[in-house]
Amino acid sequence: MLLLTGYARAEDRACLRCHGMKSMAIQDPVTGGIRSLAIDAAAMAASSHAKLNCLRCHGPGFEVYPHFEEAKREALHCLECHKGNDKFPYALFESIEKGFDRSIHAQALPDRFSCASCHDPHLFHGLSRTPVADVPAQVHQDNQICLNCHRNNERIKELTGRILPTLKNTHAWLPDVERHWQAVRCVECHTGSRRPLDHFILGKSFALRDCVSCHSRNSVLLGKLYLYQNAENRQKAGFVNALVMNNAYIIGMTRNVWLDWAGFALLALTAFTLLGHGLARWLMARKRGH
Amino acid sequence: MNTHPSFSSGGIELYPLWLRIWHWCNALSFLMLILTGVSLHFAGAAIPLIPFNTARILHNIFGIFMTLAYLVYALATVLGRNGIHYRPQWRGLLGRLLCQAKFYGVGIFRDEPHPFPSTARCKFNPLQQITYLGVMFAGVPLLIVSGLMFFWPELAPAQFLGMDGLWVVAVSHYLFGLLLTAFMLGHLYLATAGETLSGEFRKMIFGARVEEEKQ
Ligand code: HEC
Ligand code: HEC
Ligand code: HEC
Ligand code: HEC
Ligand code: HEC
Ligand code: HEC
Ligand code: HEC
Repeated sequence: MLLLTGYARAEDRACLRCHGMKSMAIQDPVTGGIRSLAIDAAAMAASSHAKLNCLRCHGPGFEVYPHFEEAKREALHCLECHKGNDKFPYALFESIEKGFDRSIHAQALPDRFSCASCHDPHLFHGLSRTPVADVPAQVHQDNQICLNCHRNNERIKELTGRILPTLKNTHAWLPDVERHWQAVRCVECHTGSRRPLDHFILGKSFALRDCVSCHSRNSVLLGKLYLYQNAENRQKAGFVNALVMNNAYIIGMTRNVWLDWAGFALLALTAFTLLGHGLARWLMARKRGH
Repeated sequence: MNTHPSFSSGGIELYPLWLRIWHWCNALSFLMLILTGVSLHFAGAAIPLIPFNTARILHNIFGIFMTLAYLVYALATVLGRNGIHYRPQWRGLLGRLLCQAKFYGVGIFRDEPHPFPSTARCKFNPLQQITYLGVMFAGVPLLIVSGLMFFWPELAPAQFLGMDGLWVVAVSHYLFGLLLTAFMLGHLYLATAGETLSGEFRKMIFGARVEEEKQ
């Protein structure tokens, strides 16, 4: 307990006295499910909002216990704080909001889906500037967001009252599914554009199914997942070496131009030599009168 | 010349039936693997190629087929009589290699006789022997192992000299494929450079018997 609150400021300790307990949970009166109210102070200290106290976001109605009912009804929205200022231009909040508003989730469940459905404000931290070696970590973090619901039909049922078919079945057309989900993010296929941080998740009939859009030189991944990595590599090693030093092999995409030309030259030289030899044999045989 | 068509029953078969079957299976797989491999590598290119997913499935099928065929070949060669052709006599090898190279560079144009005709002891000339030894017992196994690694990518080393392990495996697979393709071109061409233009092809279809050597 002391250790946990060690991360927290004095103002937050009051809240973490209760919410810092791992077992802190209540039974949801509506769904009957167990809802965790625990806040991991250590993880929060590593998040984007490490510098904010609880009460910057949660209203004064929480300062006392039992909390005021009105305080609980207050909806918190990321954009209340992040709109109309360009403190974090790289986070692209405005275009994210536009995308989210049109996304399949916001359309299908307008009152039940918010930024916080995917981003726990206590844990959220930006990762899009991941160094090359951390691509798998970013993929893991971003996919975990979707898998929290899409591998957990309880949560889907809570939101919609029905369940969805398992991802394994709906993605059976993709070979080596698990491998793909370690290397590539759900949003790569489920958003339609090459814009970074695109939040416009489309209906399933618009999802990407074409292997070659990733497995080719002009891969969509270069504009999304590998955008920052490519820029970083190019700066360090120059454009040519960027792909040589790439940290993952993706069939059709990780292609080195020089290696391809060297291969072509080898085969062309071999063929040329053999043809020349053959021609000489034929000419000499003719000369001998065979 | 002591080779003659195999219709006669005497002597020793240099290209036994199993070997001929293996050879053409291997040739078919190899051609298909080149075709599908190029399609995978150059996926999305402007030139028409086999569609990615079809190419993937065919590449897997022929890859497995070639692997099984190779196992049969390797076992039969190591355990059976075919293996003796792959045992180089190291003494004076360099001189014999040069002699064979000289034949391809000069003698062949003058219709000189082959310096190392096929015998029951060794059906290969020295250059063939060394090349085939390298190709069949280093090149092809490395190609196969690096290919199989794609089925179990978790078995690939996570890191190799500071690079992603699978990346190294993939690039090696590409390079071995490339080198063996170059070999195949040479192999096809030199098959026309036997005693007659089509003689070597006929041997690989109908077999070739030679007299047993008197000790
Ligand atoms: C004495 C223990 C205790 C303290 C201290 C405490 N809480 Fe709570 N909190 C609870 C309990 C129990 C619940 C669940 C029951 C409820 O909703 O009233 C809860 C619920 C909440 C909720 C969820 C409301 C909802 O239903 O969505 C928030 C947010 C919250 N607390 C924030 C705070 C903040 C911020 C502080 C510090 C300023 C704080 N709490 C201090 C016990 C505490
Ligand atoms: C950046 C703003 C922000 C800060 C800072 C913040 N919270 Fe929250 N918190 C939220 C939002 C938004 C929700 C609602 C999440 C939802 O709707 O699922 C929430 C929900 C909660 C809940 C309900 C359980 C849950 O996860 O849904 C508790 C309990 C809670 N906060 C406690 C705290 C405590 C304790 C602190 C300080 C250590 C804190 N919060 C700091 C934004 C914040
Ligand atoms: C109460 C206002 C408030 C709310 C609500 C809020 N934030 Fe923030 N956010 C801040 C402040 C203040 C900072 C700057 C923190 C700092 O300077 O360290 C910040 C920083 C950030 C950053 C940039 C820091 C970084 O690590 O790159 C991102 C991204 C971010 N928030 C995302 C979100 C998301 C997503 C949500 C909703 C889940 C959210 N915020 C909700 C106030 C808020
Ligand atoms: C359906 C789940 C989902 C919803 C809803 C959602 N996001 Fe995201 N968000 C993601 C995923 C997945 C990523 C990482 C994908 C990427 O980088 O393109 C992400 C990335 C981000 C980032 C960049 C983090 C970084 O890597 O720097 C910000 C900022 C952000 N979201 C803000 C928001 C805001 C604001 C909302 C509400 C308007 C929102 N998100 C709603 C799933 C969601
Ligand atoms: C909070 C839970 C939750 C999270 C997180 C979530 N989803 Fe969903 N998703 C749902 C629910 C519920 C539905 C069903 C909506 C409906 O049709 O009513 C759905 C539906 C979908 C659909 C199907 C749309 C259709 O056409 O039927 C896709 C695709 C999808 N989600 C992708 C994603 C992706 C990608 C992410 C991560 C970026 C994600 N989801 C994160 C709950 C979630
Ligand atoms: C390689 C591209 C690709 C990736 C990666 C991918 N999906 Fe999909 N997904 C699709 C396609 C295409 C469909 C449509 C399948 C159909 O309708 O037959 C689909 C369908 C779905 C559906 C709708 C299923 C249904 O029929 O109700 C959900 C939900 C979904 N995906 C979630 C995810 C999640 C979560 C992830 C990440 C773990 C993910 N997808 C990764 C391409 C992809
Ligand atoms: C969203 C981008 C994307 C799409 C679409 C996609 N892939 Fe992949 N695929 C990847 C990435 C990234 C990897 C690298 C995985 C790794 O690190 O091993 C990969 C790896 C593979 C592998 C190698 C797996 C292994 O064992 O290493 C095969 C085979 C493959 N994909 C086939 C396909 C086929 C077939 C399709 C179309 C049905 C397809 N992919 C669609 C991104 C994609």
